[in-house]
Formats: sequence, C-alpha cells, structure tokens
Amino acid sequence: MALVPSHSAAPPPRCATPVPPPFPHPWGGSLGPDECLSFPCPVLREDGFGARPQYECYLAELPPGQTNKEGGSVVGYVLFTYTYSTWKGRNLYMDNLYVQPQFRGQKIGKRLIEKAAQAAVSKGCGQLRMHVANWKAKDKDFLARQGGEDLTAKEGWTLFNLDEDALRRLAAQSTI
Amino acid sequence: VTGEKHLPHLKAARSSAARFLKVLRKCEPAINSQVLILDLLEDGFGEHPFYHCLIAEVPKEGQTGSSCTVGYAMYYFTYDPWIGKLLYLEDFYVMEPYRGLGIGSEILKRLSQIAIKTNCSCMHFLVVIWNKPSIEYYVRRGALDLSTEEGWHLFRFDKENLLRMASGE
Repeated sequence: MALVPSHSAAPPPRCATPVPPPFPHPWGGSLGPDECLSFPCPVLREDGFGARPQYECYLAELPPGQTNKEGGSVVGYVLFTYTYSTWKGRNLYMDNLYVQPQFRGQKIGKRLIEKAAQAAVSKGCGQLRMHVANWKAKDKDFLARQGGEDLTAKEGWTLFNLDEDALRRLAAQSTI
Repeated sequence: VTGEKHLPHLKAARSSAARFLKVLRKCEPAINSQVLILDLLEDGFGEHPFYHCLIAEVPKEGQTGSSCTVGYAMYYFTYDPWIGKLLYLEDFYVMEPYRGLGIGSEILKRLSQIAIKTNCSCMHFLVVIWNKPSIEYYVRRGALDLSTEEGWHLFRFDKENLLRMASGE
C-alpha cells in the first residue's frame, strides 16, 4: 500500500487520466471519467493542481497489479486545507478522509490521518480540525481513538452554513 | 523578504498587519500580542496568506482623516471535493458601543460578495450553541444549523496529538 501525495511528481498527477485524483465515491465505487456529482472535474483539477493550489491531498493506492472491485487502484484519500486562529495561529482543516469500505480495518485511515498530521507539523500548525457526522459512530470512534475531541459535544460548537442563495441575498443588500 | 523591490509591498503589508493587530488588541485583549506580531505579518500579509481580514473603521469625531477600528472579520477558504471552495468565517466581531448600527450586516454583506466573487459555494462558521443572540442573528440572515439539522460535529486534535500522529505512534 502506498500513500502518494497527489502532487508528489510535477503536477498534475497521472496526467494521462481524464480526471485528477479519482476520488473514491464515499457512497461506494469510484467516480468514472464522466461522473463528478455536481462539481466539475476540471475545476477540481485546477483548484488542486493549478497555479494556486487550494487544497492538498494524499491518496492511498494499491500496489501495481492490484485493483479494487471497480478496477481502480485508489482506495482512500485525505484532503485538507490550512486555516487560522487568532488565538493559536496556523491550523490544518481536514476536509475529507475516506477509505473504501472493503479496505477498512487495515490502518489505511490511520496512515492517511498521520500524513495530514505530518503536513500540519511541518507547516507549524497547532491544531487539526475536521467535521464528522454524529450518526457515523465508527468514524467518531476512530477519531476519538486517535486522540480527537468532540468539541460540539464538549463545548457546544455548532456549525452554521449560509448557502449560495443566502449569500446572494446578503450580497445584494443596500449599503448602510 | 529581501531586496529593495519588496519594500513597498512590505510597507503596505506592515501597515495592514498593524491595523489588524490594533483591532485585535481592542476586540480580543487576552491575545498575547507579542507572539502575534511576527506571526500575523507572515501568515496574513505575506505571499501565501493563511487568512484574510476585513476591518471596520469609523471616522474619529472632530479629527478629519482619522479613524478608529470598531470591528473585524477574519476568514479563510476550505475545500470540499464535492462542492468546491468554501469561505470559512473564523472571527466576526463588532465592539459593543458600535453594535446595532448595521456594521455587522455590512461586514457580512462584504464577506458574501467575496464568497461569490471567489466561487465559493457557501460560507461556514462556528457558533457556541448557547449563544442564542448570535444564533438568532445568523438565522435571521438565512443561516442553517448544520450540527442540529445534519449532525455535523467538530473534532479537534491538539498539538500533542498532532505530534504523536505525525511520528506514527
């Protein structure tokens, strides 16, 4: 099992394929060349591997010759961004951590989060934060075993969202 | 940063950083400003900023051309491969004597414009659940509580755990 930074060689990685990081679909399977849910793959490629990368990611890949049941070699990934706190300085925010179900229980998730932690330490970050769905007990247990604290349960921190419609309404308000 | 050609940028950066530090000292006096000065300059106003900020200033009474800082917002961008870029609002503060004047609304409006201009699909921020006035403020403006509605919980790994994970223990 290799953990490759998706931009370890000259970006973009594996430029022969039609989509960059073929992110394993969190609901099973891998996204094919024409599938990208509602978000355009060329944007994903440019945002991660263009002139100004907006995220970093590491992929968990099977050794050459081995494939998952979809015929691909990527079985998991971690994607993160660098964030900030006026109290604590640099932080790392883990936007996504995913391992295909058939490859769980092999410490792949642990190695992926360790990669994120190494990136955090090398950038001088003091914290790593991520959101996880409360109803995913196994995911929460995994994070707790690695030393994660549930700040929503412990301190009441609640995530709020202003969606695109709300943003457009706020942006169009008259000036004071 | 070396060389004469960098000086104008550095002067502008120093000036912006100084203004940001000034508003932080007023709004968050508990922050250790000695540590922050160098970090703020590099992390917010250098070539690869970790964060961005908006500072609210009002003219000083009786002093033309002079202003005082009364609030600020600090934000950065995160990323979700399914929806793209998000604007994450980390700090948002207006000093008490200046609340109720529309300054917070103006800051939120500017942030929303920035989010749209930078192709963000939404804006995220955290509020402590028992801070009812803040929650009402945001809900009135169209915000949705994702922790309650969708069960999202914030997990944190502190420095000690980061170092332990990074060493592969």
